Amino acid sequence: MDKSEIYVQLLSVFRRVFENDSINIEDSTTADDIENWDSMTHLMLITEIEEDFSIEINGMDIMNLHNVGNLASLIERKKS
Amino acid sequence: MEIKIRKATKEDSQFISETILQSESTDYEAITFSKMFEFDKPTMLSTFSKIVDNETNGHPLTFKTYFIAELDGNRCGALSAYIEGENGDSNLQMANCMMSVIDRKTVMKGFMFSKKNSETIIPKSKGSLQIDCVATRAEFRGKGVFKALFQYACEDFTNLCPKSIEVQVWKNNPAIEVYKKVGFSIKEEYPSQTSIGMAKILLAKVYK
Repeated sequence: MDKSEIYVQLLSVFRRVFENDSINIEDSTTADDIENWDSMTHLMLITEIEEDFSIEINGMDIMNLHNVGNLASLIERKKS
Repeated sequence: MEIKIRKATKEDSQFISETILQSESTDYEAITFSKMFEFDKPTMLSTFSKIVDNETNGHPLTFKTYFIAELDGNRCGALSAYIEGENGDSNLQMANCMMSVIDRKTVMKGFMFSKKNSETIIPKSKGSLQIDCVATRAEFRGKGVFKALFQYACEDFTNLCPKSIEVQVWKNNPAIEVYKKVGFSIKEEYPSQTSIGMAKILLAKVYK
C-alpha cells in the first residue's frame, strides 16, 4: 500500500469520525487544524483506523503520533 | 532539614503513581483517574505506574515532566511541569499514554465520564507553563515542599521563556490559598452545570 492510497483511505476515516465531509488532511495536520479533535474523537479515530486498515496500533506506536504524517507512516510500516 | 529537588527518573514512576493517587484520594478532586476507570486501588497503582513509565514529554503522564522533592533522603513530594503544546496537545498525548496501557473499552468508559463533565475541561494556553499533579506525602505537609518544588520547576524552564504559569484546581481545594501565596491569582471560574456540582478554577501567574 503506497502513501497516496493510504491518504485516500485515511481521509475517508477522518471524514466519518469527525462527521465532516469538507475535512482535508496532509502530513502536517494536527488536532489544532480539525474541529472537535479531542481525547474522545482521538480514541475513536485510532480504533476506526485499526479496523479500516486491519492493523493494530499499540504500545510505543501510539506514543509517537504527533501529526497525520506520523499516522500515515505508521500505517505504511504496518501494512508493508 | 533541607528540601532537595531533582528531576524524576524512570525509577520514580512507582513513587509518582503512589503520590498522585494519594492526592486524588482527598475529597478535593471531582474527576480522578480512579473514578474515570473504576479500578480498585492496586490495579490503579500498577496501571498508573506503567502509564507514567514512558519517555515522551509535554504532559503529566510521563515521569519526564516530574520533579521530586526529598527530605532527609526520603522522597516526600512530586510536581509535574511542562510547556503546553511543546509536543502537541497535552490532552491528546495523555490519551495516547492511556491507550497504550489500558484496553480501549475501559479508556472509552473513562473518556465518557470526563465528557459528561466537559464544562470543567479548561483549555490550557499554548506556550504556558502548566503545573499539574502536585502532591506532598501526608507526613511531610506544612514543611515547604510545594514551594521548593514550584520554585525549582519554574527556574528549570527559564530558557524556554513561558509567557505565563497556569494551574487548574477544583473550587473547594484549600491548595488555592497555597498557590496565591506563590503569586497566582484566579483568572477564571468555570461553574459546573452537571451532577458533578463543583466549579473549577483556573489560576494564573506571569512568568518571571
